[in-house]
Amino acid sequence: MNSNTKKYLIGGGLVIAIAIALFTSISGDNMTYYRTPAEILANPDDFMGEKIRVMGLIETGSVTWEPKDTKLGFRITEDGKHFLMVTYIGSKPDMFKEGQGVVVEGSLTAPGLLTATKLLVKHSEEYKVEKHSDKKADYYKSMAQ
Amino acid sequence: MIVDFGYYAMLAALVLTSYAVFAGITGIKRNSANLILSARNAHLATFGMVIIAYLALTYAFLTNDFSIKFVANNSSTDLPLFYKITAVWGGLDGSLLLWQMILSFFTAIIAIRYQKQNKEILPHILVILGFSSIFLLFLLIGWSNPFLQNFPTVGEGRGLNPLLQNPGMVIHPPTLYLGYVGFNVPFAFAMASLWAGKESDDWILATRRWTLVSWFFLTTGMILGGNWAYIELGWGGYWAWDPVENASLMPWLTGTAYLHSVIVQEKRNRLKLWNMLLLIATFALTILGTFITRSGVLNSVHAFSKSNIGPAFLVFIAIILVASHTLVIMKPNHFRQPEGKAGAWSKENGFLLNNVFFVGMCFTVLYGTIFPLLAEGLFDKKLSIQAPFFNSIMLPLGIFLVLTMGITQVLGWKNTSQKMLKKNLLIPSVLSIVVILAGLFAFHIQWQFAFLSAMGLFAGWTVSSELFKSFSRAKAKGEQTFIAKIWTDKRKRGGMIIHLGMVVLIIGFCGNFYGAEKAFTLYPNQVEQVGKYKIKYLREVNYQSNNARHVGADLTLEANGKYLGNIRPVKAFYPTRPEPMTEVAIYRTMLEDLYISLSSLNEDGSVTLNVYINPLVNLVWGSMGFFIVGMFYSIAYKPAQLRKKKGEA
Repeated sequence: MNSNTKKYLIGGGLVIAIAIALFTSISGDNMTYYRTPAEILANPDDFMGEKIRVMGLIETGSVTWEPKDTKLGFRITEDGKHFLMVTYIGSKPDMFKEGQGVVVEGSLTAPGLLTATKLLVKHSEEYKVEKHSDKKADYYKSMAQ
Repeated sequence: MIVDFGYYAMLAALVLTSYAVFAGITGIKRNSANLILSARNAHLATFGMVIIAYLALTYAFLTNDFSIKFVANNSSTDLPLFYKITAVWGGLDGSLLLWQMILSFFTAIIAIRYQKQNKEILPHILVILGFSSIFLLFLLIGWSNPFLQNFPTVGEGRGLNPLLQNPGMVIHPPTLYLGYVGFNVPFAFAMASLWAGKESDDWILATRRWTLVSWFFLTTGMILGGNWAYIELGWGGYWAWDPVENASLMPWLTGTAYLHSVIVQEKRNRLKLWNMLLLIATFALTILGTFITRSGVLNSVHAFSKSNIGPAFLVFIAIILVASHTLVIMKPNHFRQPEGKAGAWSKENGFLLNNVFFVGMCFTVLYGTIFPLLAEGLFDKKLSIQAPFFNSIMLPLGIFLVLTMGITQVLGWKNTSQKMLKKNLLIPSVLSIVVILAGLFAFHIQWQFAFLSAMGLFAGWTVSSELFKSFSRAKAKGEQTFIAKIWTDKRKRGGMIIHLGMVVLIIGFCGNFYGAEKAFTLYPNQVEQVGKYKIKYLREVNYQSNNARHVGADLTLEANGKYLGNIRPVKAFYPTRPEPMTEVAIYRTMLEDLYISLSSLNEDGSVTLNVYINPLVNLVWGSMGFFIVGMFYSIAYKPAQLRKKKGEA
């Protein structure tokens, strides 16, 4: 075999190996589907034990925070009709507040209860301009909760 | 007033560049020196206009002109002066203007500098750079005009995003842009050379420094970005395979591949087509990166505003790809390679292998980044690809890449004798195998960590010994002065020092395998142990600093019975922003960081803290020092061919 053919064989083999590795490696371990609270609550048994991601808004008045165990509890909804309970052990993110959009990831530990391992707050550069001062006061308050 | 000034300057710049491109093309066709000269002058005038626009925007920030929407959205009266100047690139519109200014600046340098060398392709280069300018100015005027008026006018701006009020964030975007735009230059030279049908490859030598400097800025830009994330975002890390991070990594991977493979073309006149494709890919990926980060098509934790300029980017990428490939296909003769054989253990093959890994890594990142987009577009499934995917592929590839890097250092062009291989590789091979076996079987560490650290050691060994050889050669040659000993063999040393920086960076990455993380709540005077550190909560603190009110916890640190100091993780409340910002407190040592972020101050007087121990993280930032020194060596070197030319003139 001449050295050029050998080179192309090695190179080509590497490229193919990488490609196969890539296409087969997106699996349940590193990929998560987005679900909605309504979807989950309709058939909670289907999702038991499966890793899921849910996007939704935090329901007003649903947030509980137990500093001793750093345990956060809240309910999220997408349509305002179906509410999914979420518990999360860890710290409260900066922009975590009622009415805020969040992404939670974890698995159902009971029908309708998601135990989250990840909690991300959706945020954007664009803030509302009006009533800064009121909000600030709210925030001092929310901090103390 | 100032609004009109800036806007018309941008408009004038667009007209001037369009003219420059038109005059350039006509001038090339008709072979008219006058038209070509006129095109060149139009490019210089464009630069002037862009500076005026940029200064006008800066002026608007300095004078708190909230009648401009962009200023009102990104500044406020109480913003410190320094951040008012830098707030210009605190949002999409202004950063595009900064990008355009860098592009115009580079274009002007080229127009002035290359009037003797590369004279015959200069008009072509300027036309190609002109196309990029037209695209950006078009965006600036049509889609994201930084001078857009604000109706109704507001008395106070919203303030600059507090996350961006950090020195790291101030230099990170311009640095990255210098790298992005910089890769436009070798691309333009390569395309111009093809277009003009030039036989020789001297564009490679002419753009060698451009490529190196761009690579330097791209690399440090990314490290600075990581450093910013580490300090400001408060989650204890600096890289999360976020789409925005991936966007800057992709052109870095192909750019780094090009940086190596172009040497094969310079020295051995091979890989011509491959280099051209890498340059095209790098340039297209910088635009794709901007598209991904700015169009909002992907869910990203990065707080960029969504805008509707996405399609414009896609069209531009399509134009780049079609036009450049057409040029490549139309000039097949250009890519004829001389017959020549290279042995298996040759530098050529080392570089080729490294290119396969770099491109494979780039493809991995691209695939993982756009997969969710494809899934949603094609199958209507919303999903998210996370770090485990990237780690599972990038780590093994990275391990092989570092091994290749270590081996290639000792390879010669064409071939390397078995004797040399044995002499240079025996010790590091034995060492790294010992490390792997010891790591896996004696210490039971993760295999990724065992292999990566062993390969780091291997490459570190070969790089250092090559560097050492270079220094002892200078000594043997009898170089007299200290300076002469240090400042010689610059190309080689520059490369070695930068590779040493890479090794340092990789060892820094290894620290990620040994991090610790803990969240807990403390009452006043309560103590918690994390690793060797004892953290004691003293009291709540509350103070005003700059434009923000800070509320936080006063903590004392102790390790092994020794008092280390007090630190204060806080939350900062900016009057213009509704949410507080976490300001982490870091206790740094050479070997590890103790990183504390304040999670919450609770009603009952306790505080909840997130504590991370990050080993070796400072090596990641420290690697930049090697890159800086290495870069000075590398750019000080002048290829022999260029030196000769100057002698003749």
